[in-house]
Amino acid sequence: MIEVLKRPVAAVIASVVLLTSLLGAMVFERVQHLRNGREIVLAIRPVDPRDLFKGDYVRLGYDIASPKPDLLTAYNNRRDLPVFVLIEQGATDPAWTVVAVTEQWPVTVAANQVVLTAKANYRTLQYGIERYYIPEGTGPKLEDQARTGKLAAIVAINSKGKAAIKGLMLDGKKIYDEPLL
Amino acid sequence: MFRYRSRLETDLARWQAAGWVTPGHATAIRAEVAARGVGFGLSTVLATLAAVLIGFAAMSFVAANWQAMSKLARLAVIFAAMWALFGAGYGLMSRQMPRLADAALLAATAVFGAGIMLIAQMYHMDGHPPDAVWLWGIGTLAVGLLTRSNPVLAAALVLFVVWSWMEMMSGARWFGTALTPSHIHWSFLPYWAAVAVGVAVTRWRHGLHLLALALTQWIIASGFMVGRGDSLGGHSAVLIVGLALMATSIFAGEIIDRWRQISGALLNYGMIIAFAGALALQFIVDKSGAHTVWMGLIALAGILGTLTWAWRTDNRPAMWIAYGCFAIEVFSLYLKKVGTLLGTSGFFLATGLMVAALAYAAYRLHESRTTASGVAS
Repeated sequence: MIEVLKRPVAAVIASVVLLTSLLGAMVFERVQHLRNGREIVLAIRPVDPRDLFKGDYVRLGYDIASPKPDLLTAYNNRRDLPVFVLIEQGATDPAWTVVAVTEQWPVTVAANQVVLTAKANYRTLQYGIERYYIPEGTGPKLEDQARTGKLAAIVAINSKGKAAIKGLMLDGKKIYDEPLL
Repeated sequence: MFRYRSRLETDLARWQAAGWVTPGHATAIRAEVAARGVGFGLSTVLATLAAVLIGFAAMSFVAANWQAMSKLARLAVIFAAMWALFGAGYGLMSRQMPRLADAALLAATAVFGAGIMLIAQMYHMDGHPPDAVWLWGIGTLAVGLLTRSNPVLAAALVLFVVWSWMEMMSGARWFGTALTPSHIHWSFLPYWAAVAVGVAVTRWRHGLHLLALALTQWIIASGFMVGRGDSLGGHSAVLIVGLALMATSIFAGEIIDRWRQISGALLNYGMIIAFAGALALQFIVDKSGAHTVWMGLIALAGILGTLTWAWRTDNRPAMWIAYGCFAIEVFSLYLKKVGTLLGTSGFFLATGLMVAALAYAAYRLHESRTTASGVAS
């Protein structure tokens, strides 16, 4: 009970500082990640075009989420297994493809390669960038655009291999370009 | 509050009639109660509801994802609301209105939760969803411990229970018609203990019940987290834990009650846990029904034994829980059937006659005791 507090001011100030810094740390970490992370563009394909939009966010299905089955044979029956995914950009093709899936950080990473952290779930990989929140009521418009054009996500990768969404692209043009703050 | 006042009114009339209380005393008592009552009952309830509404307002504000405001402006709204509610909490504390201060702090922690969701949404975070609830719980727990606010501690416990369920279900998969849970969520226990420390510091009696309920549901749920939810070992462990708690209450009750009057509550929660385990063993683990008869008999005997003990120790909640267990057990047996419907009928007739014989024995015992005491006095 509050009446037993000796110094209520200190308790309230400590509470305010703690909660504010927890939220502040979340924002700071994310802004640092988006600002300093390596930027790549990943192709997206709708998992199910009719059921693409649920409420106020879009489910994004990445090409790199379902690599060739033989790369995942070791993890077929695992769920939520943390893995490192080595992806590579071809010399002529700007698309990124999965080269290897390992439980350890890959030994050699070439300049045209990036390491991503993911969770292996049966035959798919989840990168933690599968949701894109959109303003209320703008779902149908984006859905139409997704059906006619080619959608892609601009993703920032930090030094630990964690991915974060920076924006969405349609036919090479940014459609959601968001400031960091 | 209203009920207390109306009861006091009839009591005062009776005491006045008996000559224990003068009319002047009665007026003074009424005035004192009225003065204490103002701003307590109804205003506390309304303030707590207001806190809930403010929390939902903050969450809907987040869900709207209103892009007319910049990210920074949206963050500023959340921070300003949180700081203002903390400020209000402090103001109410220093004006000696602790219940209203509690409500303001509760609202502040709700806005903190909305802030977590807002940041996750603004930056399209799609990590492990239980983590967000965990962080919310940590912040709420810290505020509860710092300000010694009981409602905030209760909110932290609720958040940890939700987090624990999300963690338990996050690895669950459907196999055919059966949900396969993933694992026992041991990490719940340290957070439960942290809330318990807070409740111990504020010496909050109702908080003890909340803690017991949270632990009870965790123990029962953990029984389902082993194997595919129908494991003999998992539900047996739940049954044993429940029986152990009941045994502690029955055999060490006097020692416990010398410290704190909790042996009755210990029996009640133990009974709920033990019965949940027994029910799962009878109707989930034993799919074929090969063991229905003897397990059903033991369960009914256990319930009747507990009922007798509850009656002897004058533990009313335990009696009600035992009635509830009896009803659920009998209905489950009826649905499961002992072999054929005719067999079920025979089972119920036999147990019915046995219980009737027990009732007669209890009646004779009661009668001989009252006549014996009547002669002695």
